[in-house]
Amino acid sequence: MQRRTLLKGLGAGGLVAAAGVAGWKLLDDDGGDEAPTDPTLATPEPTATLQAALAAVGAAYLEVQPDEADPEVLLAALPALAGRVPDNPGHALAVLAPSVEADAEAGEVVDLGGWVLTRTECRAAALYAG
Amino acid sequence: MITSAEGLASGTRLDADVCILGAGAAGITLARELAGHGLAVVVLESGADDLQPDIQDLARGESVGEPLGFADNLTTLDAIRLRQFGGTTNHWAGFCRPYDDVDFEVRPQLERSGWPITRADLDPWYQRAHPVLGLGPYRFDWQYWAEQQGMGEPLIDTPLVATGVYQIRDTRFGPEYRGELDAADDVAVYLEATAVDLRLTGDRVSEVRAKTLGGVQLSVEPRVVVVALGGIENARMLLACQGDRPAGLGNEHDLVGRHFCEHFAVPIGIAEVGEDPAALSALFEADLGAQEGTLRIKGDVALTSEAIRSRGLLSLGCQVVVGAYAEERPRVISGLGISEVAAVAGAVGAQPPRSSIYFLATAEQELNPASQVRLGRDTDPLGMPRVELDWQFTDRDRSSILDGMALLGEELARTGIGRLQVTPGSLRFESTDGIRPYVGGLAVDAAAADPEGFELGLGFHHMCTTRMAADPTEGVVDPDLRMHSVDNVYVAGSSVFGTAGASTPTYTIVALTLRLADHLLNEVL
Repeated sequence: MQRRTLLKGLGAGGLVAAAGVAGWKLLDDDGGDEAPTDPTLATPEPTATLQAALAAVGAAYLEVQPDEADPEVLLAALPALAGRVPDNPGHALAVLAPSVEADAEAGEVVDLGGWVLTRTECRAAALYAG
Repeated sequence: MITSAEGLASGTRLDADVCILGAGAAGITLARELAGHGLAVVVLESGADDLQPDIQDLARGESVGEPLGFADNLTTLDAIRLRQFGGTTNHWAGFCRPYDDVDFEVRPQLERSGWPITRADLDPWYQRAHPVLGLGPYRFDWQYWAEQQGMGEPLIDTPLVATGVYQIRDTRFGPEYRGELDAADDVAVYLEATAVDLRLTGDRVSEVRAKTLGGVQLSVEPRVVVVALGGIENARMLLACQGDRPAGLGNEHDLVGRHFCEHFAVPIGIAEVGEDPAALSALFEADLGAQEGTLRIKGDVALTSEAIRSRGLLSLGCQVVVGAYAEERPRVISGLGISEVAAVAGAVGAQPPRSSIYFLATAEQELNPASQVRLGRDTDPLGMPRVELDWQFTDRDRSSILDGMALLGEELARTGIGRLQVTPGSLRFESTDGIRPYVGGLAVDAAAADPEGFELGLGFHHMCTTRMAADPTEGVVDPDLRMHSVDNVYVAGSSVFGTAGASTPTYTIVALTLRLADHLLNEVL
């Protein structure tokens, strides 16, 4: 039903790239438009604090890269931090911004549950995940 | 003149310089181009002005391959094609964009890729297609339309991923051109006349046979025949003509009906980006609420020719649905959430998230000889074998979509615009806002992702079943669209496409038909 609802919406809005027929067919099938099925969905997911976000991204990274679950290994892979973990993660991440940009330029990315993230930001998160 | 063949005496014989089978986008375009040149043009159209259930039933067939649509929303062969004057333009959405340079090129990674013509060869006829389709100027770059319509900045514009536009106008060829063809004294359109056989004398078709459901039989003796019945029916018609060629017309190399391609329509990603949602909405949702029959301009994010060449990918474009990040974010069922990713990305220099967006990909299918239109065992009331479609995928069909989306994700990260999640089979649709998917009504269940088996939806485009190729062992028609093995038969429509590309096909169908008309007028008739 969920995807059916989507496609009907697409057809009604003309959004299906190639699919005039989809709109025709599905609108015939479904009748009128539907309002959101669950009003609670109007409340967005809460935003994450940086600390919580680092914990989540870091944990996800270490799941796919368990051999890096060691601060020494991570620090060695993040030379811009000069061998120490700053107390303020925001400061650490700002220092690493050029490395993140270099990763992106080099295509050095990691797939974390479908998210396309640079390896440096994942390692930085892992550093603070614990 | 437009009349119903049901009013003819059975056994009527007609002479024609050109006999066009089918009055859809291709057939009507060709008839209009040939009118006024002193030629006798006969058009045989199976349908009537309005959709007639008993005639539409002639399009019924069996799908024996991959499912036609998503598991909870399958469609059928007779629902996705219309037997009616104007053909399937009677319910198309009107999206128009040319094929890219790379779509015409040989791509070493892709067997049989490449057309025998280039994009530059087709450009003059793409331009001429604009008034036929009621489009604006021959411009598909975001920059031009941004100036014309104040659409704001593109989402992304790099050498590998670019924001372009579709021109959208759902011109209904039947109502639009009926009066013109009815008034033409050298064009005779016979409705409710279904072509059922092409008979040869030597290597030329000397007789076209047609029937009506009411029992009228008629024949046309043509100098030239143009088969313009649609991407599936073109193959069905040629395969069914076995009276003089047992394997069917043009099928000496077992190519007619093979390489059937669709466009995959796939919900495939979400992203958080730093761009203003109002500006993105103006760019990507310009068609929402717009009046049918008007020209609309709508953004599209696509891999560039350079990306497709250098990465060995199939073509891919995405439509985009926009939400304000502060108010609409996808729910997380499992896996990393959009706000967690946005918080980390923002701390390492990405733009603060302002928009959350959803990508619906339109993707090219790889040429695959096992993906095939065949004749079924059942026959329709006119004695024609019903069609059997065996739609088949390759592993590359899915992997190329994922690789292309990953490249988009890399480019969003590299440019600092935002972060993308590729969601093969993991996106759930929990609500709409009434007229579109609602980004806040999406949910992601990353644990359910199925990169090797995610569902591939339909674009409802049927292509490549009588491909054009210079070599008769590679294609059914030559670069002029003439059949390699029958002297006076041409094929028009998306069945002649060399590859499927990722752009919607009707615009290219019209351009190729205009080119065919020029060829016939200047070099054949």
